[in-house]
Amino acid sequence: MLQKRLSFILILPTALILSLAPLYLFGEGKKGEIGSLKELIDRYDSSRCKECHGEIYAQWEKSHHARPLMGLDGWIFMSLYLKEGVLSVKSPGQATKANFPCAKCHLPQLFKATDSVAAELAAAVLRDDKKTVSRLNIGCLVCHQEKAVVHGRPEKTAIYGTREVKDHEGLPVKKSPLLKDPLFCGQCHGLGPNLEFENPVQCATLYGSYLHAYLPNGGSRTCQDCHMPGKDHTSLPNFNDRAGTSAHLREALPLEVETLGYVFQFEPGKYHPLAVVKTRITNKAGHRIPDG
Amino acid sequence: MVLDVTATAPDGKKLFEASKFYMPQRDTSIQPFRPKEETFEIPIPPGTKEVNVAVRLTYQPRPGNVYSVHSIDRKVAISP
Ligand code: HEC
Ligand code: HEC
Ligand code: HEC
Ligand code: HEC
Ligand code: HEC
Repeated sequence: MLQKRLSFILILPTALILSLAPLYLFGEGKKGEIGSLKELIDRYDSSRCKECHGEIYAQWEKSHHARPLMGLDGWIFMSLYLKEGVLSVKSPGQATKANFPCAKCHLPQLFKATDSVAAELAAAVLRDDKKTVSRLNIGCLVCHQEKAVVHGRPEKTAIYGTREVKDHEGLPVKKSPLLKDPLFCGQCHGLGPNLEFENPVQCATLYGSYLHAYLPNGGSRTCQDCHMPGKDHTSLPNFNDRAGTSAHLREALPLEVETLGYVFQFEPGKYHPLAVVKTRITNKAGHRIPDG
Repeated sequence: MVLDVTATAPDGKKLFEASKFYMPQRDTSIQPFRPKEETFEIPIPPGTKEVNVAVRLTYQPRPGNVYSVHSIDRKVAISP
């Protein structure tokens, strides 16, 4: 009896210490770092902009930017990388930000959070928690704050737009010339391998193609001109819209076909019928297609 | 991005089949200002008066998801 009681008493403080441990070990992290996955979601939640920017919100919601950790049909692609290969972990608790070099472009706000948040994210990914993972996205504040300034750091107490709106509800809007520049998109749409990571990764390289294959040949439109006509935030193509994507691509990549059928005499009396098919595909986009 | 060209005889018999792959890995993607031109020369069995040529352009941005881009069919008369 005594023994039982003793062990109970011993267990209690140990359990308490263990349950507090994460807080002491990683919870606080560097000053100002986001300490939980919930806080990360809330801090960058776009729904607070919905009330007044309803149309833009509805467009954005349909875009791939609203589900950057989900592949087609809601597949959480990071699960593959956390299970196998150089980024894999034995258990989600081992994951740190170093397991998420992909977040540089797919979820840049993760680098504002502690390693324990990366572990929480790994757990959500590995238990295929679509409800949580779908709330982690490239939302209004990722573009209009986080990525809107490259010289110096964006202010946390401002939103950035194409012009100044001093009396803006919530946070004042400052002008950022970067928003209209292709470089703004290029921060994530890639130049080549990302060598700054312990495990270098390469994904999108489309901005490189824009710089090297489009501009030097006289191309003069920006990413925003072509992908955000009338400030539309849908950012087509939307690969979940099969018919729409096909139609878009048909227009972007005109195909001309010429045919000719004839018979030629190879040597006297020997006839060779031949069909000749000539194809010509033009690319009207501002970069190569496909990009890899 | 894959370009498929097939030619069939009026009776449905396949006479020819070829594919061209436009892929970033080998840097054969379709570049702006640089149209991709291909020529296919298709030998036809003597006596055939006409062939059906099918040209298909498809895009597979993510594995397993194929989008049709172009689908063009032509009847080619073999004139002596
Ligand atoms: C340099 C920025 C960048 C990095 C780093 C990056 N990606 Fe991407 N990724 C993108 C962009 C931009 C797109 C969409 C545009 C495109 O495909 O050209 C994309 C598309 C994808 C897609 C297709 C999305 C879909 O809807 O199916 C997958 C899957 C993907 N990335 C996985 C990863 C993984 C895994 C990593 C880390 C190993 C990673 N990416 C690292 C920028 C990046
Ligand atoms: C992927 C980056 C990105 C995301 C995400 C994004 N925006 Fe934008 N937004 C831009 C860019 C770039 C422009 C400027 C486009 C231009 O002027 O050509 C812009 C313009 C705007 C404008 C000005 C429109 C006008 O008529 O002048 C508003 C308002 C705006 N965004 C609100 C939002 C809201 C609200 C959200 C979230 C629902 C959001 N944006 C998400 C990049 C983004
Ligand atoms: C209470 C309503 C309200 C809310 C909430 C709100 N906005 Fe606005 N926002 C406006 C109005 C109105 C304007 C236009 C002001 C003007 O035309 O002078 C504006 C302008 C902007 C602009 C400047 C557009 C430009 O021309 O570049 C940006 C960027 C923007 N809002 C982003 C956001 C983001 C991001 C959020 C959420 C964090 C948000 N807004 C929340 C009402 C709101
Ligand atoms: C914070 C990083 C980031 C910024 C900034 C950004 N994008 Fe993206 N964008 C992505 C990622 C990641 C995806 C792929 C999401 C997915 O489907 O998994 C994507 C997807 C897209 C797509 C859909 C096609 C595809 O392959 O998924 C288009 C089009 C696009 N972005 C255009 C733009 C344009 C234009 C800008 C600038 C106005 C821009 N993006 C700014 C990260 C970014
Ligand atoms: C001249 C117009 C034009 C410009 C400039 C342009 N794009 Fe595109 N982009 C297109 C067209 C057209 C497509 C084909 C698909 C579609 O429209 O749905 C496309 C496709 C894409 C895709 C899907 C890529 C894929 O491999 O399937 C992404 C991502 C993208 N663009 C991002 C960008 C970014 C980022 C920039 C600037 C660095 C940019 N685009 C500049 C017209 C343009």
